[in-house]
Amino acid sequence: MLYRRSTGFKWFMAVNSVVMLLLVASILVPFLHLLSVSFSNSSAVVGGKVGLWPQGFNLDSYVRVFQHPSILAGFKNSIIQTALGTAIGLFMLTICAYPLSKRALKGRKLLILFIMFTMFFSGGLIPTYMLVKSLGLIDSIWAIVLPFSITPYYLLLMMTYFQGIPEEIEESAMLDGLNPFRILVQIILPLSKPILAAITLFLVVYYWNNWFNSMIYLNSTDKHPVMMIVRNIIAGSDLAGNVGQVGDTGNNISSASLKAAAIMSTTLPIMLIFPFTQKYFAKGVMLGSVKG
Amino acid sequence: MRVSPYFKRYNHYYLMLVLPIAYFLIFRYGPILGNVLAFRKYVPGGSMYGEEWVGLRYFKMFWNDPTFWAAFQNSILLSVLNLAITFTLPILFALLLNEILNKKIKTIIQTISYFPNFVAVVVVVGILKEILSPTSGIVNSFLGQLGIDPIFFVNEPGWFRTIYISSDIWQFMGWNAIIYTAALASVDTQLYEAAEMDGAGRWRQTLSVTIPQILPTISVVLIISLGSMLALGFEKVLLLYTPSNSTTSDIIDTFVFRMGLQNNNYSYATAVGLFGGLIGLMLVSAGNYISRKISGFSLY
Repeated sequence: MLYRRSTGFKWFMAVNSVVMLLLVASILVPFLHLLSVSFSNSSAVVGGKVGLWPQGFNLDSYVRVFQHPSILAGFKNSIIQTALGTAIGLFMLTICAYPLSKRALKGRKLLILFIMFTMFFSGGLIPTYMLVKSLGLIDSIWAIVLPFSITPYYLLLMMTYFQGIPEEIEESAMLDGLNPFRILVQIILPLSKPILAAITLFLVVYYWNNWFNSMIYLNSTDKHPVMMIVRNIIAGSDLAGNVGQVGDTGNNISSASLKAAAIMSTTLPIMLIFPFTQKYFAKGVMLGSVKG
Repeated sequence: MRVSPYFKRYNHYYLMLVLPIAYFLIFRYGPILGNVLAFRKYVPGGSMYGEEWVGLRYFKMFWNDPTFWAAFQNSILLSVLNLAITFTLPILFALLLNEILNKKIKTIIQTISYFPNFVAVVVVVGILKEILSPTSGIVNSFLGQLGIDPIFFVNEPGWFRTIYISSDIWQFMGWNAIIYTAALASVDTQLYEAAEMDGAGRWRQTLSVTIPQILPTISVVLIISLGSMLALGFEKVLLLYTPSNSTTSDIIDTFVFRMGLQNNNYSYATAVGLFGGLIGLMLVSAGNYISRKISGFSLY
């Protein structure tokens, strides 16, 4: 193309490359900085000498974080919450989206309106809390995994996907005497792997990252997920608050390193799966935008 | 009894919908009905719908409460600023990314750009507090080298909005750009070739081909973001909230949280929450109405 030879365009490309480079750097630098803080010794951290490379490399802050009495229980609770929440969410979304994707279903429009209304007007924080309380779910994992099991937005994504599967495939199965439950399990779901993968990932990330619902609904700290513990460490109300004692035992850990280690150890699982799963995430948004 | 062929064929579908409908009735419409608490007095241990009608008592209470109005103002200001910035930047980013010719590099940049979307809000605030720390933060140690005294960014009311919005850009710009990148990828290349024939340079092509082609996508995103404008990242605000920055960081949601779940004024907090929810609903309808008038496109 002609314009690519012009000097103006070459200048633009040069500037654009620099802008993109700065952008990528601004996303990665905070992580790299925190990673090196988490591995650095206290004097370097307090002296502000740590940039993007650890100073006085050591693993003390990670050892200290994993010695936290409830961190392992926290990881366990997070895994349970995530697994149960994702399983219930996927199940409920599927059995809701599949029938609603049948255009000939009587009452379909009304049902969709009934569901979509909740996307624009919700009960709000206090009424939801009161409901969970009056159902007797306080301090139970069900308070975390039930109230948010069907997200209208994910439902839309799934419905759109199911509608894209040709009806003829189901017609012949129906003539063979399969009922809709078996058609869903044996034919539709195997054809829907991309959307199922995308929604599974969205749900996993949602439950893994969630702390607020645990804070308001789970009174027993031994039921808290790891994000809640990290939040307490960052707020300084836990662990980092008694760094003084750590110094007494001969270790030399700054509170900044501890917080950085706590942050890194909970973000690492997501960082590790991200490169392998990112194409499904992006696909999830794209699938939703087909109809829009 | 004769069963109609329609029902015989479709009864399984209705069976599947039993659980989801029960879910929506209990967990979504339950709390919507629960809003009557705003008009009723709550007695500890009593019903979630309150015990006794008190009319608009709780509405009058917040109407006359200056802390509510401060929170209201903060919400509006933060929402408008945030919308203006976080709506525009992803479009710009997608356009610039589209100019990167090397496909591999383009994908790498895009993938890195949307990674922060999956980082927990607890972690984002943790990172912010660390890099902005007045004692060990990298930002203040850099400012120190320039001879500037340490600034306690996360405690300063004047810095709150900047911190909130820039971290939103950091976290969501790449993710929100995906939809535009997809729209840009589907633009017919023949349009560019035709424009090229007519002597249009790259800039001219962007204005006359690219932007009109992605305009429908832009307007859809705009209506949706207008509707959810007041739905600020409540958890992030709550995590960044400190008594010392509260003059700018107290928004409607944090006000409701404090009043309801910390001070146990359930009815009062419900009234404030309902007021916020109704404004949100009005914004959606207004956005939808305007869009239908202008572009003929509407969500419902």
